[in-house]
Amino acid sequence: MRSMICLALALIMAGAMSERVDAQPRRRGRGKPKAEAKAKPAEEKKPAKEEEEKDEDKDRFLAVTGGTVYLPGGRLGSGDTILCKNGKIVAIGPHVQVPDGAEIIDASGHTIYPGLIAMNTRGLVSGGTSTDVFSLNLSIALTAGLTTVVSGASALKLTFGTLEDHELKSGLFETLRYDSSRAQERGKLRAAFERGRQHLRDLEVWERAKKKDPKLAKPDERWIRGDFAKALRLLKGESTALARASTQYDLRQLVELVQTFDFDLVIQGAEEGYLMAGELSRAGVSVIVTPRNRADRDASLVRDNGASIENAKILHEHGVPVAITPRSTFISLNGLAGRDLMHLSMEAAFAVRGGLSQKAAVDAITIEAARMLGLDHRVGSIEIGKDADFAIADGDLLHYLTLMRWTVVNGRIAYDRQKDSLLDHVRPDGDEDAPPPNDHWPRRLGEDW
Amino acid sequence: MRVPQLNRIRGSLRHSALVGCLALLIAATVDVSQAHGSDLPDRMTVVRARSVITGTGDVYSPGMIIIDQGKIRLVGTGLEIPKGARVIEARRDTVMAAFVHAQTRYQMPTFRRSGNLAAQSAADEIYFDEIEFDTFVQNGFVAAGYRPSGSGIPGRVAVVWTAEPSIGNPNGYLPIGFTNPARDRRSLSGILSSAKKAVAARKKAKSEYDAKVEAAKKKAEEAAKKAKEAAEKAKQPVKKAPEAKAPPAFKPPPVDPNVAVFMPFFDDDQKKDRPTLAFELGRASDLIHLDEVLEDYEAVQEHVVYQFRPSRFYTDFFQLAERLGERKAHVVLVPSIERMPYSVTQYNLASRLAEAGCRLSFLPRDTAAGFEGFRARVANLVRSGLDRDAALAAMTSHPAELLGLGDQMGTIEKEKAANLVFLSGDPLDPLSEVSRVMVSGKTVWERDE
Repeated sequence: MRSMICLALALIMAGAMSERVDAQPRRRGRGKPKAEAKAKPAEEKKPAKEEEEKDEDKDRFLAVTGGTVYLPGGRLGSGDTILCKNGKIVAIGPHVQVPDGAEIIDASGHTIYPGLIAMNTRGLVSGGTSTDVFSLNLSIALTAGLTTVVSGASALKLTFGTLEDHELKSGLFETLRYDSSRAQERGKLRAAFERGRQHLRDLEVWERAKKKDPKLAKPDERWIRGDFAKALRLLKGESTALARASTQYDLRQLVELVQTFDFDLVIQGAEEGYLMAGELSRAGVSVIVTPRNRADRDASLVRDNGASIENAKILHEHGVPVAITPRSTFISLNGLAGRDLMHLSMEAAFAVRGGLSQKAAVDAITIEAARMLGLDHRVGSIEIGKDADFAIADGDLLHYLTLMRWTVVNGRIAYDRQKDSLLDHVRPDGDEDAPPPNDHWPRRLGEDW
Repeated sequence: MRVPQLNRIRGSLRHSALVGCLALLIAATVDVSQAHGSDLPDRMTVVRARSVITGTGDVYSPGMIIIDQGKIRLVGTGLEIPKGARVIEARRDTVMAAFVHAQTRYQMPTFRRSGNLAAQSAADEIYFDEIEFDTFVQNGFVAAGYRPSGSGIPGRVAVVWTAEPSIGNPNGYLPIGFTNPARDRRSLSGILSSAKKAVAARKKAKSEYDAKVEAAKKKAEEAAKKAKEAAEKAKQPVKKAPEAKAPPAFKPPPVDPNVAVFMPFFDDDQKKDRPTLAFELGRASDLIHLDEVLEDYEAVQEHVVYQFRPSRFYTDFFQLAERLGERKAHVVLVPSIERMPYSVTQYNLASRLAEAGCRLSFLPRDTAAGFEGFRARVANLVRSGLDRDAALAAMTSHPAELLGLGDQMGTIEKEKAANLVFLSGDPLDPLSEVSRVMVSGKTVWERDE
């Protein structure tokens, strides 16, 4: 009761103080400590052992100077220098001292964004154990400013040429199949949740009864396998669920499930989410949308339906955490142009077209995505202590003419537009008279080529 | 296509040609007396050549080599001919160390095999009657390393002497396929960790056995002492204690012989038995994965050789030039101009590796035409920028090192075996031919004019 009053007061004050709509989305803490969420199966890889062998190798410094830094909260810090040590950001500010021997990027005239995060990819990395770190697809993704990708069930970084700190986290989500076409599976899943919840109650009862009678047997746990184990992990808060849903019906089913059993859920798709944004917000689910996914309105239905370009905007206004992913999971150089991983920023721009604020759109492909993956302590924004992943663009990230000049991953320059001639054919500012590039495709052979 | 040499000699050279003929006649008469002397102990042999390429950086033109009992005693120019020495006049020839074929399956059938068969050797597959070793000799190859057929770890390469076909060493280096990191990382690290555990188990068993032997000895001593005391007490002569049974010999715990091949890496007493591991890589990224696996095994890192075996018609091995150069790695590859990925642009991989500091070994194609055309292909690389000395070393001393013959042959130096090849012109001139091949001072093949 008291917490409700505090929340109401805070809301009133927040509302009174500003009319901006792009306040941080409300996040319903479940009351369960999320800190234990690092148990199996979500394993997080520790940063490379090199951290401990510092005495042998020199520290590796990188300084990005002269550019405009996109700081958390959407603030732009012009003239700030970012200093990175061994792949982590250690200082941001106008008067940062750069040590000798540091690699310096002079980013004047450029804007430094946090490295972009693609929530669903295929073909870039292969689960870490067999990634081709020199592959073309990886390089192309870097030209788009992507630094972290989700492939299968793991989050990996696009570390060109090295496997150091390549893997971020595996076992990201528990997949839930809870849509209208699978009635039987839904029944089973529900039963699993019921059983899990009952088990947690039994455990609590046993904990209390144990004090009086230490010989009391623990409730049987041999049935905890498969779906039951999944449900139990979700109920305990050890992992997050991921479900696909587009129609209001499916969304409602999921919302009801979440409200009954109280677990963390991320919904991918949610094309009709804008029609029930309030319910999604109250349930505390997060959403991964693709603004350009169209589902035309079915006129035979009385109720509202169909996709809307304003989906992201409305969801965000209601406080639902929104991340954006493009329609295609590949780098596709043929087929539909403009909807693949190279155009993640354009997907976010289309959300702005639908009314989402610029800041929320940039957040949707950086920090919000990181939060949903549980990696916001490492990636997603330019803050001290986080990984040095930058997408240094020659303009506004959400502008179609903007290209990346450098992409930095773990404090190393993974893509340099002048050296990697992948985009040499794209003339600066459409200037036909610009001098042709030394046709140094193929790239990275060096200046003596 | 042999043009009589005399017709092509112009002007001033004809004089020396005549002198040379005269010298040859004299030498022939001298040689005739020697022809019957194959059973007699070797006399000293002196080779007089237009040019002697030692392989150590010295080139003597004209050059002389003094050979005694199959070993090179002196190399230089203008040396004194010892009395009674047999002189081989090769005034128009260039002499260099004989070639070594590092990995071949010439005239041997291919069959599939996979998995870890490290304990096997190609020596078990070679039937000397089936292979025409003359093809090797006629092209200057004095030693060849026969590779067992199969992928994975097919077995040890057998070092074969081609002049008088025999197995020099059945346990040469060990080729290990590493073209599929997803599968090969696991198997390699599994094998290495099994070997490490096996060594630890053996050490433990040995120390237990030693402790048992000690204990048994002590017991026997004490029993003898007690018997002596008892006898003294009873004033009776000391009964000879029954001979203590010698404890059974130490039986090390059984180990898979294919894993046992790797055990010397973890046992400092067996340093001499550590095999050279030749990792076959399909693309640049495979090296990065291999480095991750070998990170923990420093003893293994010192015995590693890399072989480039691309499966596509372009390669990205240029990405590795710096890395490998820093380690002064030994790289085995086919002498050809490579193509960049997704491009028709060509580059000289061998010269990049050599400039970075790698040691190279070239492999001819495994056909008669391949052997004949080998020098021409290497010449093509030199023409495109490869350092000449690196190229010559890649045909002689480095493959010799790989086969473990680096102390015996590969260069023309004092105390090395006189394994020489005489070429009618510059070794990298495609028109020059092999005119004589010498093994341990004995001519094993001569071109008849």
